[in-house]
Amino acid sequence: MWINSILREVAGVTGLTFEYVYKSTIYGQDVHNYINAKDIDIVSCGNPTLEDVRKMKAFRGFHAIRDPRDMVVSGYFSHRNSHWFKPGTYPKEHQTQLRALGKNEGLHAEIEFSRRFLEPIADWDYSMPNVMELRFEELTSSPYDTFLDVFRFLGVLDEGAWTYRARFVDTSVYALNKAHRRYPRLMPTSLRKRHIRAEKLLGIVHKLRFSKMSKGRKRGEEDVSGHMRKGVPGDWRNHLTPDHVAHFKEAYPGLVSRLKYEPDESWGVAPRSNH
Amino acid sequence: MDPLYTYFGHHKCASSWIWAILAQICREAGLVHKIMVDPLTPTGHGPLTDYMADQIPRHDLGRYLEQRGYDFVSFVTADMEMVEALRMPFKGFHVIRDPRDIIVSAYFSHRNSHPTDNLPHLAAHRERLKSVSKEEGLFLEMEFSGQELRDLGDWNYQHPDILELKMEEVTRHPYESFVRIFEFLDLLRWESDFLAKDRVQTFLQGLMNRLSFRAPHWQRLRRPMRPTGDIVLGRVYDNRFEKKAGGRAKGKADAKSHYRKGKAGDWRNHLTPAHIAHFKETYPGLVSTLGYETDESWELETHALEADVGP
Repeated sequence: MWINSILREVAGVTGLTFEYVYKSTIYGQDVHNYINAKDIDIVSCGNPTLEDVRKMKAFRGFHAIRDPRDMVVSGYFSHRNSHWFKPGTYPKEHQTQLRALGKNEGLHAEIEFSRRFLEPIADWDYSMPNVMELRFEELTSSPYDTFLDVFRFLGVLDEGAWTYRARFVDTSVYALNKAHRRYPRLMPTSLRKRHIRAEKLLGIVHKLRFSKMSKGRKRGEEDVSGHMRKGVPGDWRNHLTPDHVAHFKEAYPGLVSRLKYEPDESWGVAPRSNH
Repeated sequence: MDPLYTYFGHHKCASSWIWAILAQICREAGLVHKIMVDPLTPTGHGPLTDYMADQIPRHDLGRYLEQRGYDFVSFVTADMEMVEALRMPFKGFHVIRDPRDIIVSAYFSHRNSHPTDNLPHLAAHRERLKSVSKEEGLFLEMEFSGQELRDLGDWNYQHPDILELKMEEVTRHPYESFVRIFEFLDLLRWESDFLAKDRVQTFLQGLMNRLSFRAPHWQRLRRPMRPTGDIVLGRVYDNRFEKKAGGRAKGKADAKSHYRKGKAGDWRNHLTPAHIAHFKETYPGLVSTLGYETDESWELETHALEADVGP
């Protein structure tokens, strides 16, 4: 959600088109067919599968993963307390179930429910030359440098001198594009800029940083009912029990070490002594 | 009434980099920024200068600043006496560095690159450094930089109006650190409901604020404002190490550049056991007092603590 908001804002500033697709199918068609058929400049794919990505037209992108154990805990709180699901769907049933169960049982249920998020991560190809691989943990600990690196990799970062003229052009394009979105009849076209100024990007990351998205809370301060709940890596240790860990390892054998969040699969709730 | 905003820095603690960023942010925000220096640093204390006036008596500092109407002052050669002499509401931040790295950095800078105009004590020190070996020069530097190291030891690290930071953390995470600084100073604009007209207005006001410093009769264009995130972070980006050092990455040394290496713990590559023994004898307890080691049993092969100040 946080990355998505940043990309949406970048599109707003540059006049580029943006679309967020989440499921493996959208409006009855496969994601890759949907994306290939449309002229979209920036696509944000939630939970992408490798199969879909391989069928997409030429693109340059980045892929952000997170410690799957934190995904389960984060998913549990979010799906139980704050996420909106369409009535009558399986996720909505899962939410109702989570609200009826205690935390212990709820986390077991979430481990199973997370298969839809964890399998695409497990099956991913982490060596695609056109895809920069990132970890959520890096993004949250050094968001400014990491987003600069991402946009540099994408080839859309403007690192030129920030002169008066450049500022004037940049602000004018921003104002016109804003007017286009608000009053499309009066301003029928937008001005597309293929590059974003480093300063603008940093300003967007700042504006949408975790503490603002979570209404003033700093990273690590918890609000169990908020979608931006806590944001601290390794929080799973505060919630998963040895039983949950055993269940997780059985359901997703080798996943944590394959993603290099642990050197091997001998990890447990207690931190390793040599960490 | 707004407090005086202050930066308290020290020689060879990234002070040129920090005040350059602050000066650029202040210009756009319409805040009058001045730099205040003790020309005798790092070897002694004397009257101060802001390059508008010389010989500003230390006891008269508060009255002088009030008369001048400065909004933001960078005390780049700070000591506690200056803080006590302010005698006005202020909010500031203080940046220190591992004193062992200060010595090594100062040695190279004083020997090779630091300007010596109007600094006869530094010119004489350079001549001495050039006439002796590096080993001897590092001993001389420990004596020459003595006042600065004593100032670091005498600082009040618990002052409620001063945010304490380590240079190692500020240079490792510059964007996060400057956001933290401006949040502590309560100087950062909250942009949650920032409309397009606010953004255009900020751009135009920033432009006029910058113009207002160009000539006295343009002063009337100036409207002080809290800077937005992109103003603060953009200036940090403009002053990133790689750009200042002409494309060199952090950690690669150029002994003749003011931005020589930029890597924490470089003292291990230059100080010998004899230097360390001399340092410990001359400045007992300083390294652990500043939080760079847990105690004074450190040697060349022990590992320095990670800077514990983070955004």
